[in-house]
Amino acid sequence: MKPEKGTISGLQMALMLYPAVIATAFLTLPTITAQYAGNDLWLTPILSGISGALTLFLAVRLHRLYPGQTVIEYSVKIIGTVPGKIVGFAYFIFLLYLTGVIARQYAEFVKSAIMFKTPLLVILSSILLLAAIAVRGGVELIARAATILTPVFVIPSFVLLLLLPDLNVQHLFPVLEKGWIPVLKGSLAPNAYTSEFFLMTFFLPLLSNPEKGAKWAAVSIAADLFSGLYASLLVLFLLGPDTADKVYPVLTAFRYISLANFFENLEALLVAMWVIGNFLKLSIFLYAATTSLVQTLELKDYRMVVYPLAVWCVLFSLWDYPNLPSLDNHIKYVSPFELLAFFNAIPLLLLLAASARQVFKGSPNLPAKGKNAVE
Amino acid sequence: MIQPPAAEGQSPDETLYPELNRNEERFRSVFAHCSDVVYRSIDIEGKGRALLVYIEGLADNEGLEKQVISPLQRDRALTVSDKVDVLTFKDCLAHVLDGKPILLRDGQTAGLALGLTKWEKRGIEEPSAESSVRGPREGFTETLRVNTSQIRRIVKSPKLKIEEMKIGRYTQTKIAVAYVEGLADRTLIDEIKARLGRIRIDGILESGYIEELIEDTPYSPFPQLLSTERPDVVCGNLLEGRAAILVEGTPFALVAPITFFSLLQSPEDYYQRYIISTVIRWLRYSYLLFSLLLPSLYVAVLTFHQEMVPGSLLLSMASSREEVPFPALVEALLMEITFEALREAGVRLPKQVGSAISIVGALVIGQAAVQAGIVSAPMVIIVALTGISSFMTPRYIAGISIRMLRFPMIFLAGSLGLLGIMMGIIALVLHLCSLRSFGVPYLSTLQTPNFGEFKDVLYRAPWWSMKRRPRLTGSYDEYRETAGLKPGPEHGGESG
Repeated sequence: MKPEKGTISGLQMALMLYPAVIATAFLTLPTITAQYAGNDLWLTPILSGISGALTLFLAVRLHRLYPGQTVIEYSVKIIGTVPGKIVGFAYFIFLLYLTGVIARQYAEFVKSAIMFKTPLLVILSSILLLAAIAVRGGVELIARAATILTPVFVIPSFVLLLLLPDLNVQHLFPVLEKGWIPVLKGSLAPNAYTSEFFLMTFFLPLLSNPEKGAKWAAVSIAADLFSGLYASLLVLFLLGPDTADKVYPVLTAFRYISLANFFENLEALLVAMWVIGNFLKLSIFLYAATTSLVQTLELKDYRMVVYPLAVWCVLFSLWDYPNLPSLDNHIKYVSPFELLAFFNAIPLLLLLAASARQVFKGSPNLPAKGKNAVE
Repeated sequence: MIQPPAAEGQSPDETLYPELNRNEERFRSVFAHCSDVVYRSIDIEGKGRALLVYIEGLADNEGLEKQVISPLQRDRALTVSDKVDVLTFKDCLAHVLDGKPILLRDGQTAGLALGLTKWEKRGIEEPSAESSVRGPREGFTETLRVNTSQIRRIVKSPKLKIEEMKIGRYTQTKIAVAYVEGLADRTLIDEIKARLGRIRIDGILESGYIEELIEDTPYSPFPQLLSTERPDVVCGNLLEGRAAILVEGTPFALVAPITFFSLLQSPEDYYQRYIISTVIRWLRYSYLLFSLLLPSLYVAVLTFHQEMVPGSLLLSMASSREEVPFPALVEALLMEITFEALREAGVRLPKQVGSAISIVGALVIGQAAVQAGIVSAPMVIIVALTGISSFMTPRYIAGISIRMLRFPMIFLAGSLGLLGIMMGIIALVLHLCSLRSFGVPYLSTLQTPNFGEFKDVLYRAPWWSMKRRPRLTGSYDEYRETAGLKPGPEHGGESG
């Protein structure tokens, strides 16, 4: 059962997934990667292509075996009703909690950048209200909004090019001074972020042109890696070894821009971009969480659960962390493993199980036939 | 329960009586206390009597005299070209109310409806709400027939269909749906007719009634049908596969389906050279954003983000605000509301006192308020700029929707600063994305994977390159011109 009848195009899916992954990564990732990899942080976005490729393979492969179904639906088909429902429920809880984490990250940034005295609750609930409205409008509405908002989200990042006179390419050297190990350690977080692309499992069944889904998802992942590379290099060239000390290095970079002694303090642009990106990210995660719940419980109408779930997200994000450092700690040390577990490990196990099922039953089409796969 | 007026007589569906006297009695009882109904009885030489029933002021008196009464008196054939046999009493009533005189003869159960109508009407004038520098200067009038003829004069093709219906229990207003067969999607036309067919209302006085009764989302500040009083705009839209709804009694025709960008396109865009049109279009887009956001940005920056303003500018702004007792939010609201009041007053005032408004506006509110230290000068500049930019929208009605949305934006800016403005923008985008006009998404021209559609949105492509029609609901005749129309020295005529 699908939560709705809406269909989206491959391009729209790419435009939705791009901000869904990069929105939070753009600001905080350079710090985390710089803390491990130092001046080699720019290599980490490239290495995150590993997870990108794996995620794309898993999502597309599983969708090809079970066309028109999301991970929630085919996990039941692959490992049976009860374990499948447990997996579905786990996804629901995880996605809902993750939405809360993202909202908290967003709110902490907005608070520290421009709204110093505004309570977190206001910032959190305003954006989650908008996200809930979008989710309630359906996937088509989110997709349409993404076609307008994603370009608006991308354009301010080009303003960073105004920094060109201040960039120092020398910060790049020495390359790989301490070998590959720190870089690999640093690339864990970017890899985890890229694995969020597995959310495409919720959109692949809704595509109007499913055969192009893989292509557009790949385009989106590639754009994501390039953006990561772009941000890392710019921050590295501008801040050099200081990158690791900044909470939001890209914000620092924006503050640095000064054009003709008139356009200064452009961080408002960045905040605008951040709000739009996070709105899209939150709507997509909230949509995924809602879909997981609806499909796990096989509810008839998804609309009635959206607002309650959004309220839960607000509570999650307020309760989970007492302050910004604990949130940062969580993002640095816990999040990568959570994300990789849910978006790479579980799908990989599901795919292995599905393939095993295929091998033992002897027919390649068997799992796709639906019912007879679960027996 | 209110009965339709035609049903007030006794069983109007009945056929006419053979006796003229009984028929006349019936007319007189239905039209009791209708002082404008004329019953004119004519004696036909030796062949009994005839009766003309018509409404004074709607019938062509001279024509009646020459073409009906005098031939009848001499028992010759009528020279009226438009005459229809009417069999039932109900039809007779409808024709009389339409302005057509009815001729009844003794001993005949069929009346004649004569097409001799004539009433006072306004001539074709230049459209006052949509003026343009280049382009035809004819506007629609209040008479449906004149309006359809203006369309027919531009689109001379049998494919141009004009279907009529009557809506309004008391007004019986004629509504015409015009479209070009083969270009307009059939389902669209059926949908329009179905939605019009559902309307049960006492009267339709203006196309605005129709608009509100058939739009997709009633709870939206944005118009979902385009209203225009220019025949060239209607024809341009018909040729792009849209349909027009014309209403008797108003010069404003409705066009459906539209997108958000239809509201931002002026007919002149297509008559001027494309480079100029493109530049002007961009100017219009940016001022549209101005008219929506300028006051709220000012409020947000002054209240929350002073650091964004360059130092020297901030100093001059601060010095002019020194004496102002209000916070920026209150100041902005005060000025914006005053401006809206001035605008509304300017529309309603008789022309003779119009100049009073500009004096009051410019001197009292502009100059004196600033000198008295109640309002700061930058705020006056902002409000003036916003006012001008809101009038740049080619469609008055779209300008109003944007102007209205400015107020919630100012509130958001005053309470949450830039964050609030972003929230407002996102909410607005969400709303626009969910809007549809007769099934066509409001922002569809920006959201198709078909980049050819951008030709008429992001810029105005030259006519020789706009080869395809915009895609609306269905698939139809795709190309509007042949290939290779691009002019150049190598493409001369036969003489070249």
